[in-house]
Amino acid sequence: MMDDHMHPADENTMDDLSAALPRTAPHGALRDSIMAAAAETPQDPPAPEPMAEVIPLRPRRRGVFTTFAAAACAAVIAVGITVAFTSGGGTDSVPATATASVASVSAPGVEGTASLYSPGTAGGTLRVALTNVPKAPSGHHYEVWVLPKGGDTMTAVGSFTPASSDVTLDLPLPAPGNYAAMDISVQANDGPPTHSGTSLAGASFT
Amino acid sequence: MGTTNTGVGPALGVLGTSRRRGSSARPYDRLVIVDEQVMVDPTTDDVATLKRMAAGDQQALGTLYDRYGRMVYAIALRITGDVQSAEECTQDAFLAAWRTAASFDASRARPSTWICAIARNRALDAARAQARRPTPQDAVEPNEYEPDTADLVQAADEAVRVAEAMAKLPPAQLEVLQLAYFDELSQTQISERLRVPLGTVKSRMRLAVDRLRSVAADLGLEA
Repeated sequence: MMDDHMHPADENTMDDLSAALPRTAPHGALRDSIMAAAAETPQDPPAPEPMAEVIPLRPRRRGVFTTFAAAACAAVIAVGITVAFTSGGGTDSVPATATASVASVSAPGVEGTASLYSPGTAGGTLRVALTNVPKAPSGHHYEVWVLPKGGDTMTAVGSFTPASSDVTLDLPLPAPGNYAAMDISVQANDGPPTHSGTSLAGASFT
Repeated sequence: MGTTNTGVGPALGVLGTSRRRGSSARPYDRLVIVDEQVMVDPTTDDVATLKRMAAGDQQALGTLYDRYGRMVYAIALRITGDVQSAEECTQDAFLAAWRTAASFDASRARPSTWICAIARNRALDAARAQARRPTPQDAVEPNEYEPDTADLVQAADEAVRVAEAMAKLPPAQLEVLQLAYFDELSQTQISERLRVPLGTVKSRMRLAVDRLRSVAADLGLEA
């Protein structure tokens, strides 16, 4: 009869992995609970189509706020951003919760708006509409980050390479909450998964 | 111990065990051959599942949960360290996926990446809220503990990385691995559960763990 035991090396690997991902299954009733809740949960309509080539999102990245974000946000504020809290006029039928002017940081001429839609709820969206966006340098792409209010960590919400100088992106926010700023960084395609420290443009919602 | 399956049975039942590598006939042109069996590329299968969810098919949500529920729960548990919070985060994540399935864009992320990211963010929020919540002890002595965001995020990223490596396994390997990894079934029990020969379970398990070994090394988890 064939031995039931797993190969010791395989067992060791699984034990090693458990330090990162616990070897615990959820209670069987959780599935039923989720299915019952879904039956009571209406679904959202599809999001508007993005107007730029969006490249696959890499794992969520953690920004290095102390070295770049403070400077980026300060630069944005320094050039005189205008914040307009709107009561209507957003995409589709949902009004923007906040809209801010985007100011260029490293590339002159980039301008546009950044708008938050339902940021306090799951499924909230950041819409970024830009003009005069230069082509990303060879071997690089742009990445959009958001900074929660009161937070010290920026989170990447999407990457793109512009198909033209006019770019509109609709990006899902990482979590319900208030957001203080957004930033667009220039990232090397094979670089580390943290903010490069070079910002194309940014906006502050405060 | 869970009793769910990963929802790959129907696909295997339809596709059988014939070798069709390189076939141009649809729907076999996105198939991969692993373990002597022809199986649907998991990403293709997941995208189809999300499309069904977007169309309001609740059974598709069940399929998604059967495939990724244990991983999502484990991610949340690693981050929050609390069973109740992990269950709440898992439920929140799948309900968010259900609600926003129509907005999922397969060109931007794999479905498994998407659901893991939702869970990760929910769990990080929960962990931070948990750490800030006053405890009865606070009335006597101030709680000076502040959540270390960097540690939390590192734990989250490690958990997600392992889960995503698992999610990239072919469905038959993932099914066997999950029963061993999360449900801690023996290979004989898995063989009986899935009604496949013990030798097949063993070979699938070895292939699956081989693929995960490099992740353990990359994360410095090897003992």
